[in-house]
Amino acid sequence: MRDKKRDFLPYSLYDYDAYARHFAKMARRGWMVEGTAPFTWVYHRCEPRELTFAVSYFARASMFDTEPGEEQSEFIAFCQRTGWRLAATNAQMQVFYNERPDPVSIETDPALEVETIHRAAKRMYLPLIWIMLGLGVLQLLTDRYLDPAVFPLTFLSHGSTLFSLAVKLLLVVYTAVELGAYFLWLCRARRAARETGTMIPSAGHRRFNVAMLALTGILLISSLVTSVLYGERLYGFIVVLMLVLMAAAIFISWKVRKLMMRRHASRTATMLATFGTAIVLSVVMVMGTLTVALGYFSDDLLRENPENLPLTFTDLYEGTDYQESIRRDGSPILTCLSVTQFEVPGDSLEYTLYEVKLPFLVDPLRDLVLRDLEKDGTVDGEHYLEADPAPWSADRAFQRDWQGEPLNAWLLLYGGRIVFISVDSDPTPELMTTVAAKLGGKGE
Amino acid sequence: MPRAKFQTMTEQMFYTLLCLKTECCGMDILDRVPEMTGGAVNVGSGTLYTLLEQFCAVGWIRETRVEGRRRSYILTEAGREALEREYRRIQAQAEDYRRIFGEEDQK
Repeated sequence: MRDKKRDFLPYSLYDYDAYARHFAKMARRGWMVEGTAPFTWVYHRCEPRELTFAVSYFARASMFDTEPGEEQSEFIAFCQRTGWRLAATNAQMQVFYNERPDPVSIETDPALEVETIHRAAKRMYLPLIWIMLGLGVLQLLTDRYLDPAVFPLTFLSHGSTLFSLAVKLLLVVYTAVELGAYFLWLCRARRAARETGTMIPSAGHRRFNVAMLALTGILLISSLVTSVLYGERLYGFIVVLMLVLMAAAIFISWKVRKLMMRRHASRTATMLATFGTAIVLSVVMVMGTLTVALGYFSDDLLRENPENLPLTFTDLYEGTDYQESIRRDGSPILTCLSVTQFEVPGDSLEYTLYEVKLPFLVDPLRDLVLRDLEKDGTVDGEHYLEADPAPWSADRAFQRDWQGEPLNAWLLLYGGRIVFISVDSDPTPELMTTVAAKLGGKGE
Repeated sequence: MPRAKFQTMTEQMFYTLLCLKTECCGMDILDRVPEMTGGAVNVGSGTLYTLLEQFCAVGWIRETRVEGRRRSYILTEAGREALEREYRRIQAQAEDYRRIFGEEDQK
């Protein structure tokens, strides 16, 4: 039979009512809260009891304290005097329980209680959320894929880019909501304390927190699945490795903190050791992941099988001794295959095939490309002129030109496929038929 | 913030200061206030801790002794004046009540 239990509580720091209710429910089920582990609260088995729980905040407490300081001890002693026993602490948060049926609350002055919570929040919770929001906004502002000059199809076909952008957006939304909700609660609580002398219930946004976590998980999983399905295997490998190593870094840092506390180290020493370990491990792990992934496995993970290509050099030309570079990217929206095959000296074939994966996005994505063409005749920085689509059996065809001089490069639209292709010499009717069949899916 | 707040005392502030006419420690106050008020007023342990801290900060009480986790305090002259101001305010309210309802009560 298990003697320990852990659970994850998606509550905001100031959601004291939700914490107290949850710990009371756990005690009724025979589990007494005893402390925290990374991301979770820890409980030990106890006799099922009806207890009153209260979460109080002590601003000067720290998660790096080996044991309560003099002032905190005095505060705990005050609480003990009125029957409140300390069950667990989590930095400034102090969890008490009381066996008396109708105990005097720890906080009996709403105005003071609000300010006590705010003082504690200012110590770590608020600075942390502000920093996360700032980093999220900075990352979004500096994201090169949000540059309007970036070709939208390139951006939409990179599952990894879409995922990282979505995570940055989620971070900004989460932190903004967390801060907004906190300050809204603070204003309302201050007003209620001032005008009616009452403490309003803590108002967290538990469902929102759960939804954000679920969304992050779904994004992560779909990003990994996409990376495997659509060719970004190296990215998937790096993400999985980073997640495992990050979890290890957090766990090791937590162990270091516990070790320092067991050795009764000072708050400063414990803090330095914990942060130092976390920073060193993070740097080593990021460098290690990249070195391992790029240095040892990248060949295997990046290598593409030319047999899977829809169109190859040999489909169009005689030669077989050609060099090539192949790149696949993909997202749930769009896949992208870029192929370059050439002989030196000799012919060359270069094409990029975008394939829209979601039928309802075919028209909007085609319109995205056509809108650019209609606006100034350019797509992805290149200038095109409308051409006859019939020889290519395409819906629409555009030929690239350079300062009025037509080039042997075309943009072809075939339903949900968007093809950029360039060849060495003027395309023969056979070449165009082959391209239409292999890349456009015409006559397959 | 506390100074502005202290312009009008809550019952808990009033009785906490009243307890400190003679030297006593925080835990004694937790017992004395309900005794003094027949259980009508209770001071929560967290509230008392914050009050003592803030009263010390504004100079209404001072720390006299520290014995382990027990700190003892006593009212200062400034605290006595604050308490007296509050007493006069309450008294003025009581007199206003008597002026309005006193004659009716006599009938």
